[in-house]
Amino acid sequence: MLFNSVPFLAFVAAFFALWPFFRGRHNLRWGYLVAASFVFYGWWDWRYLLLLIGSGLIDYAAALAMQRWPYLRRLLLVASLAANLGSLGLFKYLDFCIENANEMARLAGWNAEWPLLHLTLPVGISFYTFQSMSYTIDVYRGQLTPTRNVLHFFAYLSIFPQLVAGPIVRATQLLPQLESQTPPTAEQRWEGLRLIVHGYFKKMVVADALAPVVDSAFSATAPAPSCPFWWVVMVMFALQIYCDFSGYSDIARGLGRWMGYDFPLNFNHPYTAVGFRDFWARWHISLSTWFRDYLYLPLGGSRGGPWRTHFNLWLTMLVSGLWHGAGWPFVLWGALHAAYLSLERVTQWPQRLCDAGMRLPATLLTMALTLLAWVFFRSNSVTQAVAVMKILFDPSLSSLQPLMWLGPTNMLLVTVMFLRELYFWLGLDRTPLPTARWHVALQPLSVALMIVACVLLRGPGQAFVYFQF
Amino acid sequence: MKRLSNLAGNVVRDPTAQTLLLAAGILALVAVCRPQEKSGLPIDVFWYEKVHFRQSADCVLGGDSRIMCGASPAVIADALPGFRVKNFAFSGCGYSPDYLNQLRDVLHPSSSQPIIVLGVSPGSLTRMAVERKSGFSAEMARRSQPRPRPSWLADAIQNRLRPIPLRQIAGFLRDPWTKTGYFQEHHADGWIASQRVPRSPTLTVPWYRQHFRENQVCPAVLADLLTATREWSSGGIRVYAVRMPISAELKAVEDELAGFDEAAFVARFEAAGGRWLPLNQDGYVTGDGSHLERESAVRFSQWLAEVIREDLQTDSLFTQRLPASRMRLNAPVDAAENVPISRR
Repeated sequence: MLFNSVPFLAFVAAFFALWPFFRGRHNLRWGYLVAASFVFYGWWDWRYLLLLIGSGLIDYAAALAMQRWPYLRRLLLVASLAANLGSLGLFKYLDFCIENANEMARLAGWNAEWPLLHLTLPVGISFYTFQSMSYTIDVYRGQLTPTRNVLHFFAYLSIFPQLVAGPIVRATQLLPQLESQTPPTAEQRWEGLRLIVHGYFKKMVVADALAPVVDSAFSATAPAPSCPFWWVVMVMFALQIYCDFSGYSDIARGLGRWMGYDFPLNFNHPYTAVGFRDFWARWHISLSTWFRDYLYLPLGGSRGGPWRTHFNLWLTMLVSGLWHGAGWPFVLWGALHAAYLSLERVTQWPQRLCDAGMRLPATLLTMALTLLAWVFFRSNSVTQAVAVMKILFDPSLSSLQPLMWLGPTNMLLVTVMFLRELYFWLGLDRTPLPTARWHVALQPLSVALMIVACVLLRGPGQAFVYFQF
Repeated sequence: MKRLSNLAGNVVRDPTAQTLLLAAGILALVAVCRPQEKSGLPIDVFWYEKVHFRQSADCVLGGDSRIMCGASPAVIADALPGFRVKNFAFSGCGYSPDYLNQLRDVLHPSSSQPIIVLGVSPGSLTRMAVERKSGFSAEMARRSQPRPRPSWLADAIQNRLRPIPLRQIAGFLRDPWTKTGYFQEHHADGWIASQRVPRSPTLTVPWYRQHFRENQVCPAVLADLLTATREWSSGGIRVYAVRMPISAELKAVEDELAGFDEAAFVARFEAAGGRWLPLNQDGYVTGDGSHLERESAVRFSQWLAEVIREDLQTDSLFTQRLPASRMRLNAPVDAAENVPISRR
C-alpha cells in the first residue's frame, strides 16, 4: 500500500477509528497492530508476507534460543544472519552476481550464459531485514532481553508506518514504547498531523513534480549536451530524492505520534551539512547509525590506526552502496562517499574552512560533491554516469537553451526548497516562535492550506524512490 | 445530548480536528466551484470502449494525440453516410507493428470500402514513440479487464480535485471571472474534443525542441508503416495520410529538428499505394501548438471527409454502394454510434 494512495487513506482512517478501543486492551492491542501491519504489507502481494513472517520467526526463535542456551549464542547469531542475508541475497543480489559471473566468464573466453532469475524484489526487504538483524545482534550482545510473545516481536518488526521504508527502529527504542497504553496527547496528535502533512507536501508537491523531469533527462538515448542543464537536473534529483524519502519518514513518524509512539528522526536537513561526516549524521540517520553500530564499530572503527580506520570506512560505505542497489553505479556512489570521508578525515577541510569563517563555501562544496555522487546513484549505468560527469565538467557546453525544458514550475519549486533549507542553515528555526494568540490561531490554517496544496498541486503520482531498496 | 455537545466542543477546540475540518471545507468548496474540465464519457470508460473497437468500422483514424483530438468520426460520418467511423488514435502513439495490426483490426471484415486514415506527425515515427509504455501500450491492458464502473471517488480525484497548474493559478489571480483550464469532452467514437483557455500556441515548443534533439524519425518505424500501407492497399483498403495541422512555431521546430523529410515520405507512401492528402494548414487553431481546438477539429474533420468523398466518387465500388442523392456533405446519419455524446 502506498502512502499516497486512496486505499492507504481508507486503511489509516479505519485503523485509527478502532485504535482507541484496542490501545487500552493489553493483549488485543498487539494482535490488532500485527493484523493491521500484515494487511498493509500483504496488500501489495500477500505471498511476500510469508517471507516476512518466515524470516521474522527465525530471528524470534534465534533470540529466545540465545537466551536459553548462551553457549550457542554465536552459532545462533550466525544462523540468524545467514537466513536474513540469504533471503536478501536471493531476492536482491543473485541476478547481479549472475550477470557479473557471466561477464567474467566472457572475459575469460568461456561461453557460459547462466540465466537470470528475475525475481521480484519484495517491498521493504532491506529495511525489515536490517531491523530484524539488529534485534538478534542486540540480544547476542546482551543489550536486549528477547520478548517471549511472538505478537510483541511482530508488532516491533512489522509496525506498518515504518515497515517498508524506515526509519529502521531498534527494538530497544520501540518495544518499551509498544508496552505503553497511554493515549496520545492533543500535542502529540497535532505534532503528528504537522509531520504527516509536511511529509505529504514534500512527496506529492515537490518530489512528484520533479520526478518526470529527472526521469526524462536520464531516459534520453544521449544526454543533453549542456553543462548548466545537468547541474540543474542534479539539483532537482537531489531535492527529489530528499523530499521523497524524508517525506516518507515524516509521514511514518507522524503516524507513529498518532499511535502514541516516537520514531527516531531520519533526516535533519542534510543539504545544510558542512562536510561529509556532518552529511551522514543528517542523511538517513537510522541507516547510517545502523552501519556504524553493526558494521563499522565491530570492524574496529577508528581504534586500529589510520590505515585500518580508512579500510573500515571504505568497507562500510561500499556495503552501504550495495545496500541501496545491486549495481555498480551504487557501489561507485558508496566509493565516492568513502573517498570524501577519507579525504575529510585526513585534511579536516570542513573544520578549517569554518574556522576561517568560510562556512558558506564549505556548505556549497559539500553540496556540489554530493551532487556529483548522486550522478552515479541515479544513472542507469556506469557509462551513462561517466557521460553525464563529462558534461558537468565541460564548460564549453554552456548552452542555456535546454533549461527552458525544465519548466518554470519546477524551477520555482527548486527555489522554494533552496530558501527553505537556507532558513535552517541560518538557524532561524531555533528562534522562539511567537506565542501571540493570532499566531497560534493561524497554525491550523497554514497546515490546512498545506493539505489543500497536497491535493491540488500534486505532481504526477509516483511510487516512493526508496521502495526499490 | 449534553455529551454530544461536549464532544463537539472538544473537537472544535482541538487544533488537529480544526485543521482537518478546515482543509475538508476548502477542498469541498474547490470541488463544487471549480469549472469541470472533463465531460462526456468517464475517462476510464472512454479508454475501455476505445480499446474494444474491433471489427466495427468502415473508416478508422489512427495516429497520436493530434488526430485523437483533431478528428471527429461523427463529423466525418455526416459527410460519408453509411460509413461507420472510429478514431483509434492514442496519446504519444508510435506506428509500431502491434499498433498497425490493431488499427487494421478496427475495420469490419465485411466492409465494402474499408478506409484507414493515418495522422502523420514526426513524433509518431520515432523509436521512443513505438517503445513508449504509456498511451497505447498501457491502455491496451484494459482489454483483459472488466468494464470500469464510474465511481464518485474516482471522479472526485481525477476531475473535481485534479491538480491545478501554477500557470492556471496565476491566470485566476489576474482574471478570476474567466474560466481557465484544459477542457476535454470524451466521445464514444474515440474523439477527445479539447479546448485550452487561454490558448498558448507555443506551450509545447520547448518540450518538442528537447524531444527531437534526442529522438528523431526512425527509418525502421517508417519502413514498418510503409510495409503496412503496401499490404493494406493490396488488400483493398484505401489508405490515406495527412500531416495534422499544428502551430507555425511548432512546425518550424519539427521541420528543423525532427529529421522528417515530408516530400520523401509522400513519395514513398504513394509508391506503397497510399494517398497523401495535402492540407493547407492556414486557419487552424491549436490550444497548445500541437492539438487542434474543438472548432478547428470539426473544420478539419469536414475537410477530411470532403476530400475522401471526392476521392471515393471516382471509385465504382463506392458509387454502387451509395445512391448519388446521398453523396453530399452533411447528409443525415442514422448510426447511433456516430452521434456525439453531447447530441444523444
